[in-house]
Amino acid sequence: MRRALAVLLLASAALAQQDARENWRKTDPDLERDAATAGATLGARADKAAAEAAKYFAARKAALESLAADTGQRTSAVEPLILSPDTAPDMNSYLSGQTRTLGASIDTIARDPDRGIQQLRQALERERAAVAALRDGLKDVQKARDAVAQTADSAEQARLQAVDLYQKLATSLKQSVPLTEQAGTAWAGYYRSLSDAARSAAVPVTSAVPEPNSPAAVVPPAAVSRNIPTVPLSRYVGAWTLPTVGAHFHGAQPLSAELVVREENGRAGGTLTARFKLPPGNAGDAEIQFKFEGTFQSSRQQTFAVTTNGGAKGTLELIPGPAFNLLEVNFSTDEKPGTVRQANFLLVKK
Amino acid sequence: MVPAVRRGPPWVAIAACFAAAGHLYAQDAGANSLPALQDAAAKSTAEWNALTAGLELRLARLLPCDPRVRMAVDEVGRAADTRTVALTSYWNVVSLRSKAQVEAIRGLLAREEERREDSTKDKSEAQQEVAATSAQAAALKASLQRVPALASPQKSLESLVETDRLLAGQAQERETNGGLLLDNLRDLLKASQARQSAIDEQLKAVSAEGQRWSAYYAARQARAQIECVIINPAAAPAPPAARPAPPIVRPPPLGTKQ
Repeated sequence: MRRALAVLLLASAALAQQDARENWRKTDPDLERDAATAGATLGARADKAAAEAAKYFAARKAALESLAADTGQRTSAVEPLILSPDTAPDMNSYLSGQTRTLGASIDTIARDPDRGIQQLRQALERERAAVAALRDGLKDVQKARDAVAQTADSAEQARLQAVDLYQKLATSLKQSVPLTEQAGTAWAGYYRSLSDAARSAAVPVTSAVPEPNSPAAVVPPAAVSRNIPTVPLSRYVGAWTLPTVGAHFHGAQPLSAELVVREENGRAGGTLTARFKLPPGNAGDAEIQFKFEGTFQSSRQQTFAVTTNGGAKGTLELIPGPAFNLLEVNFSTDEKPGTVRQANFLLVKK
Repeated sequence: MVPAVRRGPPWVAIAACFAAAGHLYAQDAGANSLPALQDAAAKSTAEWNALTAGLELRLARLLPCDPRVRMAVDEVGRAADTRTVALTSYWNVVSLRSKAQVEAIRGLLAREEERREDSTKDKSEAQQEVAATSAQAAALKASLQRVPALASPQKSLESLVETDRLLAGQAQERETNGGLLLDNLRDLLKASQARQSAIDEQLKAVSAEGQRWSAYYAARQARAQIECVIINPAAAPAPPAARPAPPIVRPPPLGTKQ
């Protein structure tokens, strides 16, 4: 029963690990290929892959630990059978002596015709036959003892080899556990650095990004030439909100977000209100509100200058998402420390 | 007529010893442990050996019809029976343990044969991981010239390829050792089965030896009786009840309980 349960648990752990691995590897096979072109959307993609990788490495670690424990237990499944050394006395000399004595007695009375003496002779001969049977039997006993000793030695040698191999397997599995854990941590770090690298490289090359405090950040309508974005304006303009289920984000976790984007004569403007979950122990403001405005540029990614309600300056990037009703938001401000100064998340059109 | 010379039916004790062996094995503690059984066998052997060695000397000092003659032969015979019972108990528990070990090995072999496929799959998946991570590194490297900031994740990936290689090496080693273990367990099963056969033969040998000693003491007692009759026919003791023949000793099946 216990064995069946152990087998079931091992099989279950192995299956969970295989499923998790398959899910991870299927999540985003083109992530690296798109690293140079996906821009800020890569963050959400990398996060998703990172989450699947974390699931796989947790499952893999659990499976290895189960297997290592099971293998360790198998080491003791075949306990040694230590046989005691043979302590049987050597009866050969005793029996030889008896044979000689009995033979001499028989010879002495062999020719005596007395009936009683002949009965004695017969008794002596029966006794001598019993001694002869014992002497013959001693050989069989010794042969049996030798066979036990020899086969027990061979079995014990083979058992020790099995124990050694089980220990090697258990050790190898145990060594794989921390290495797997290390790999899981390294994959998480990799996805984070990939996301950061992609985001830092996502500055559009078609127009200069206005410095948050630069006067150029707010351009008068008359001075603006009308640029046409590479995607329809409807991919930016409108009311957007954070999906209540399955929100994608990178960095600070948004609890709610409302974005309104307007367009008038090639100029964009709007507001963003968002609330974030702050790490435990952080007493900073979890809510941010700002206005933004600027011109639409002839690129997919739009960057605008922002001014928060607290007066801090910054930039806002709006990037059309993988579907028509999705918009990636990426902002950073020079708000005071302890507040949400940057965030990256996907919104869905209302 | 060779009269039976001892009253007790010691072979009943031996048979009972076999019947109780499963119970002894199950308890396996204190007096029923293998070392304790071995001690009992060694002690009874030493006692019997001492009595046997001194028997003829003791008898030589007694008159043929002295009742102590019969008592002396009886005493040695009982010591021989005690020894046989002790040895039978010991070897019977050894046999049961050996059988349990054979079953354990059979179980391990079955499980390792099942696990062999998992081990091969594990190695294969570890190798696939190396290939997949290497492919990711290659894909990222292609973007490196366009986005220099990808150098850091690229470096991370290359390090991960090395980690994957280490893990694949460990999986490969496990697969190799798993194969060796299977061969070893098959050898171990054969060796243990051979030992089991030898132990069963040993049990039979102990039983047969006990019967031969019993026959010898019976013959010795018969001779003493005739010697007495020759000297004084009227003083010959009445023959005791016939001694039951010893049973054919067979080890009980594994798990026998009383």
